[in-house]
Amino acid sequence: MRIKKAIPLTNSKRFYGWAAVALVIATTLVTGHFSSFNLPDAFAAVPGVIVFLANDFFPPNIGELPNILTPLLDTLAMAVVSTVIASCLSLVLAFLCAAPTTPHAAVRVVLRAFASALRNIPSLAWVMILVPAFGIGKFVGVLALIIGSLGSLTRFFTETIEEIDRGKIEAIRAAGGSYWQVLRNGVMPLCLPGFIAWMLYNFELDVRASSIIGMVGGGGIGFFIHSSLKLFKYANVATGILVVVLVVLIIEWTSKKIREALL
Amino acid sequence: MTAPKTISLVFTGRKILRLAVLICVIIAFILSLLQLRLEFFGGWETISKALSFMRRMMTMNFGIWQDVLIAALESMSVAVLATIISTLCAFFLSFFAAVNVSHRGVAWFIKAFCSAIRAVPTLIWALIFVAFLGFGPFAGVLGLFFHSFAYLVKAYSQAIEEVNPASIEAVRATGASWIQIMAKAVVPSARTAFISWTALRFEFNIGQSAILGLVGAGGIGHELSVHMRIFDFESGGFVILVIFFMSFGVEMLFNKLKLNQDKRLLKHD
Repeated sequence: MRIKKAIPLTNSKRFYGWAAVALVIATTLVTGHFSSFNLPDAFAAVPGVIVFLANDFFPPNIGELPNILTPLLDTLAMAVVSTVIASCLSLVLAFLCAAPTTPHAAVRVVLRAFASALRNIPSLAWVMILVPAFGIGKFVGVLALIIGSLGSLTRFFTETIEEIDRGKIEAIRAAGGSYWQVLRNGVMPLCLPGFIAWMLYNFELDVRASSIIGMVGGGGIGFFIHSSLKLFKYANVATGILVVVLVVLIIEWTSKKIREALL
Repeated sequence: MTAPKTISLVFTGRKILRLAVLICVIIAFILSLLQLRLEFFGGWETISKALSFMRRMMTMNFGIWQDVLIAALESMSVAVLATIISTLCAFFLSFFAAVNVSHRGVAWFIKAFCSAIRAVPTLIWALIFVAFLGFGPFAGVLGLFFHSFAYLVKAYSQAIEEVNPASIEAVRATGASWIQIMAKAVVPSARTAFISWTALRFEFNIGQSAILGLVGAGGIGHELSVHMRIFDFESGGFVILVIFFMSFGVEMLFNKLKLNQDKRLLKHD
């Protein structure tokens, strides 16, 4: 009688499936402990919040709209200024940082580290860093947004430049083009759609970010929402949130249209 | 001999469009600057003050590492837990939100509902939950979960809609029930996209969990706020370093695991 050779446990696909499930459950329990998660409260909280929203937040206080107008325009303005300035700076940095166009390998490493440091620190954290020196207000907000956007855009632009079709660049170089001609006629047209896409995307991110940096001193509508919340004026909070939601949706829609038209 | 530089003055349609867009951007920029009426800071002393603060931040005070470690664990737990729960819930709902496997009206309604939730920034959701439940990471988890859930439903439903309709047809033709079609045709095709979206959202959640603390949800954001407000830059610098490594570490980890290779995933938050 043949004795079947035993299959080691770890060769079985099912083992890994169940191991993954066990890992997820274990992680859930550990993280639940550290974040003071309370399951029964959680189940009650979700409908509870909806009731809370329905009771206290509606109807939104329309009367506050005139007060919101200026902070809202500030919020949008901050996002525009930040995206434009950060785009210009990032363009230069990205060309220095991307593998095909970098003057020196060391420059590339330094810039990548720099951009990484800038973008892995959230905008709100930048506000906290800059407020002690520059005070609170819109200037600090714009500065924090620019620094954050600089990091992201440099990384995104660099990726765009590195992903272009090298064949076309080779062709121009083979036809005798100088460095600047290669740049202007080869690299730029190929990169432009990508650049524009990332700039639009960054603008959306900046609008979202600028609407909340007001909460820690950055100016804009975040301050209105935060202070209304602390003062328990939930109807005002509702108005503020609705305005933010509307603006974000409009910008998302506009951005989609622009992408379709231009790219 | 290089060719003489020429700029073509022929106004093609596309050129006009591009020029118009550029002019609009410039106008928007100038209007924004005027709108902001930025009071420029008080001269060079402020910059040197800022630089001296940054210098102080660079000399980091590692002495507070125990509190910071606990705070970091708290924040990471918030992010991980919110991602796990929202992934599970979104996974189930996303099948009803995809137009190719679900009723059109139902799918539209779910998507609209999730768009509304998503449009409210994560931090504001966290604030709402803090107002309802009080301070602490628990409110942070729920706030983060709410937003992540809505985001992932949209993302997963997109992935489901991109599944090759032929495979769905094929499985349907064998007489399989709806659940069997999902399991055998949709899930295997969409699986990598699901994982990529989850990884992307998790990276984002780690960053968000750090700042949730700044508005009262506990964790490392709270540590940052506490130290910065009393101008304790040495400790603040250390906290910033930890925040950076949390976010950077996850990014590096995912790059190594190649979990986020899907380059089509442009949407964030």
